[in-house]
Amino acid sequence: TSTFMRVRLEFSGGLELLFNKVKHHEPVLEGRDSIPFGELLVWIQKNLLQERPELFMSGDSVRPGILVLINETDWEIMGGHKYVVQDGDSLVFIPTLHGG
Amino acid sequence: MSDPLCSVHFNEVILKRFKNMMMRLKETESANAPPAPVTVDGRPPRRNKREMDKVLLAFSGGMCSRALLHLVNECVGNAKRKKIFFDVSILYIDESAIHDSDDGEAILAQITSITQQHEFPLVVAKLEDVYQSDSARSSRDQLRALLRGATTLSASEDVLQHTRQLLMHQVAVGLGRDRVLLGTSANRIAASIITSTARGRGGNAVPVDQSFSSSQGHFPTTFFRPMKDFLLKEIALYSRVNHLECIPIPTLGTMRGPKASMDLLTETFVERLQSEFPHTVHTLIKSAEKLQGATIADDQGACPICFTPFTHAERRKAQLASRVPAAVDACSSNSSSCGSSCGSGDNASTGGCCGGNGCGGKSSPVPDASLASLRSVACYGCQIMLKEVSSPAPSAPPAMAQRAHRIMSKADMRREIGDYILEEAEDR
Repeated sequence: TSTFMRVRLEFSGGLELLFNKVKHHEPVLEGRDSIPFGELLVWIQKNLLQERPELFMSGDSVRPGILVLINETDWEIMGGHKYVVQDGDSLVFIPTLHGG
Repeated sequence: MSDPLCSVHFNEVILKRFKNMMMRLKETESANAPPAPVTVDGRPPRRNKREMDKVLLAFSGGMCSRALLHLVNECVGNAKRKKIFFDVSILYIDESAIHDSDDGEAILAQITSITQQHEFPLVVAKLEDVYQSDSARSSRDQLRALLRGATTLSASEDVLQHTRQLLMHQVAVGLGRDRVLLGTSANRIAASIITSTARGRGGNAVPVDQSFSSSQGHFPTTFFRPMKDFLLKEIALYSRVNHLECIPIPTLGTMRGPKASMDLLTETFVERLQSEFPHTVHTLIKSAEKLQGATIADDQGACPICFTPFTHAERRKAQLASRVPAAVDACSSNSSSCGSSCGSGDNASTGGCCGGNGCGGKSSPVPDASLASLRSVACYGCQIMLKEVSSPAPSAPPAMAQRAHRIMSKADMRREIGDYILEEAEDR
């Protein structure tokens, strides 16, 4: 069987500078229909992040100060880094530091 | 923590909290308001709520000030019910002179397109205007030299912050608006409490910088921080829910690592703690709220660079500060032509004109004075900053030099007539 999943990623508020200045990404992940948040982050770092990983990640989670919205909902309500990302989910990463 | 809210309720909660802050603002008397006349029954009359208070809203294009602008508009704009009466102008500070990019015009266009959505007039001031020079180029060069003179990122950030504040003062006074609204968030205040303490400003700057309103006695401008109880996370969500666009403008700390400056370090520290212990920011702020700072009774009571009130010890020291002895007539320009005789006894400033008697006489405007020459009348925190400023030091913005000059003149006068004073009146 060929399962795959598609997620919609958005990097805003200046974060896009680390991703080749591209805000919206819709990667397709082959061979699975869900992925734990932590694993997805690792995938993003390997495949999409162009530079300065320490400005996006900290250890195996996002850098503190980056707000994550899962389907336009605060990720803390969705279980935070324990959330398992599903096919069709949208994730938005918003840096809050240097808010001005 | 409270229950999750849907976006509509979230908006309502945020707006309600903000409106309370604006009402508090409304009720705060202006620093220079004439004393309210007393009525027949001995009590002052209530302020007329429909009076249009003039405010200047500091807008940087960033997330917090963008949210501030939107929220103020919700309170003031087309609201028919429970409208709060403010006359708002927006101030944008153009700092393109100190950044290498050519994006200045493009950024200004974006700023304008945002502010046009709310019908508040926009005022643009260039950061180099603090130099009040006839030549725009000269102002720009002086500003660049000022920032370049700081040898550490921490010192640059301090210098930039004080220069911005000075410009806001000057613009506010020029426009006849004595209230300035800042978008400072709770997280920013929490980090700055730690940074300021680490940089030697714990006694005087912290109480000021964390306050809802700070006015310096007889100085005309009052700064308000109506976002001080809002977390960055709340502001980011509000921004997202209302589709507010903001402009990530490069600043000194952009793309630098988390340890590049004191401020970046404490910001990282606070955010890391906050992500695991969501009451961190709140606790820091509540602790600092208990601090009581000094108030300034006269213009000799504040640091001429950062404007914060002197502590007792700093005030004593400033009172003892002397300008250059009359012998130095040759003092006619800033920097290296001034010999080492410049400066007070044990605090020889590192090259730089003191702006003292030999130069131009007492009644003429203070000539170029280097930043370093202000050291003897600067607060402890600014003295630490000045240690990180290169030698020969860049020239200080004139308003800072003038304030320093006034403090030093008064110190001179005190010495001259000291013998005739029967009893030292303790200045409050």
